[in-house]
Amino acid sequence: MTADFDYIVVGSGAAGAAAAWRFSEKNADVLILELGDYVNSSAYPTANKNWEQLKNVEFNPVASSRKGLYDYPVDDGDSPIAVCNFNAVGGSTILFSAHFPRFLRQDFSIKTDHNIGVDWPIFYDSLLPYFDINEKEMALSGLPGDPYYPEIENALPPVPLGKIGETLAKGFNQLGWHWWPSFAAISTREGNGRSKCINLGPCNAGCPQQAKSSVDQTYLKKAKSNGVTLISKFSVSKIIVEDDVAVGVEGFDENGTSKIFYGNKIVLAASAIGTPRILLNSNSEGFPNGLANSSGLVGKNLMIHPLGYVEGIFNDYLEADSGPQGCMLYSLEHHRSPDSDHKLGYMMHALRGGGPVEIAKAALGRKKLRFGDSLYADFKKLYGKQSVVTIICEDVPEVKNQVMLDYDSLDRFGQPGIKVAYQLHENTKKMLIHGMGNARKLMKEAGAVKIYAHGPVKNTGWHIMGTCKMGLDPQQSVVDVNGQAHDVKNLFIVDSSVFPTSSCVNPANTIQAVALYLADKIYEL
Amino acid sequence: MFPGDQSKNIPAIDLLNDFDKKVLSFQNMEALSAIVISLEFDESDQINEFIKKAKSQYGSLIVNEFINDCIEYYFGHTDVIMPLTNKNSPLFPNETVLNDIDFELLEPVYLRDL
Repeated sequence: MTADFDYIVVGSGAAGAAAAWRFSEKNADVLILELGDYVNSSAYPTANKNWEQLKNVEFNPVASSRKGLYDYPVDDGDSPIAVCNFNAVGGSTILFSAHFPRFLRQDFSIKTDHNIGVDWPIFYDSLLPYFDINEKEMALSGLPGDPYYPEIENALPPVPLGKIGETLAKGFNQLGWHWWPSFAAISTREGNGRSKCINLGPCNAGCPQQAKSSVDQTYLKKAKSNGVTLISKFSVSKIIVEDDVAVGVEGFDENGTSKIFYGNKIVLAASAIGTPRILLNSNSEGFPNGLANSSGLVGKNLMIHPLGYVEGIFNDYLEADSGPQGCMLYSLEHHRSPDSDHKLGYMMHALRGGGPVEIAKAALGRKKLRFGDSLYADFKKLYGKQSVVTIICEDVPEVKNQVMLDYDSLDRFGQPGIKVAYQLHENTKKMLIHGMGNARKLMKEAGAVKIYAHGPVKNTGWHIMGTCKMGLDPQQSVVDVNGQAHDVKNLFIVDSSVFPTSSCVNPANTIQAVALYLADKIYEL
Repeated sequence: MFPGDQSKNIPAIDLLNDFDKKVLSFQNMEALSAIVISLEFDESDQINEFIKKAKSQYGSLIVNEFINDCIEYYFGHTDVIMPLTNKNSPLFPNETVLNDIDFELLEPVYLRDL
């Protein structure tokens, strides 16, 4: 067998694209295999007339509802939170909101500091240079100076707050609580071949302006110009192992033809559900419970960031229909809550309002939309006057929360789908109630005339982590501090599967910083 | 249900250019027509009362699915969105300008000893 490539990277999303680019900067011969297809930006919902309908069908982020041609089956019926993702060149960054904070320094030592979860085997300081690289490549916008992030010194100008953001900010100030304009992976100025944000609104429907830094606009463009080969519509089903060494991958092209690619190093970046799926499906006589699974932890310790939703309605039109929907401001006031009866804490992440269809449906669901002559007045009571503060709870790893192969539900190539089993940790339940209470207090202080709250919210499982934990002990983890599987040489994982804990902030920036860090470690081996 | 508002140039649903074609794709149209006939709806009836009556006699599901289809069609229609929300449809490539941040708002945060 001769290796065709130095590196085979499985997955072209946030982590895979970053790692592939990093390898390519060192003149390595890299192949990326991506399950999904290229998406033309003219196909994004907001480039079309019926954008809210398109957003709910082919661009629906809920894997179990979308069931697209390139999706594998996901059964999340045994979880209060649905898995959200997107299979395309660029992965889930095509639909992410681009809210781009870093994990905090204290997130890496929660076992030592709070006697819950585990500590990371790598340190925040080791990641610092990689955060800097990543934020440059992903066109970070935001305002340096947040006391919680003293290390961030460079960013494009922040996305505007708009009137709705200013209203919430005043509420935070009246309560004496921390808040800060969002850090976002959004190019707010033209330059470096990027267009500037024009405040279309729903970034989570894809960005036809190409101002949002989905990785097809950033790392993948540069990687390809460095000579990286990207094959789309290729479904990797198994890792090929010879004498406990990974030597290649096997899978299916779009026509269902089985193919094998050989590489010196196999790097998995297929997400915290896709990566364990491939490993568990790579079972063999030598690895009866799946590959790299002597610990029994492949697929276990799933973390999803349970989310609380608190919506405030204001009397005045506050431009809530304009500007990046998921990037406005955040608060870390309660990321630790020493006086509460839960450990750790949550981020308050403010969102702008929805589109006309979403607003009309929300009003109808609350019996606040009457048909006939009152229709327009009822609609106007909500449209552009609504803001949401989400409570992003730091999740805690538990072995019982897991993804498993689902042989009852196969993909179009006959490979098993996945089944998710997940329940909220008792600590998280308390945290969620605490957070929604505080968000209500904020909305009231900011002047909201109506407040609605619920949680955990079903269709919010974007932040999936932990299913192939990194650690020092091969019996307690799947990969080592270099991302290499304890059991299989030359098999690496660089996506959020390796995260031992979850922080309480959006993980995309940290996912990429970790991927870049691990890429350098892998290169040095 | 969606009567339009002439003063704001918002069209009624049945005046939308593709209404005749679109309405045929709505779920449960035949069943809905039968309900309307059996409950003897006429133009003078209060629509919201009629919907309540239809739900109580024939179940919420069939009525709700129809209403959902209507809302998606009507509030997603270019000819409605523009006069109703002052937003373009499609949204892209039209820029919306928002004011720069008033950084004085951040003073209390910056000055806090965290």
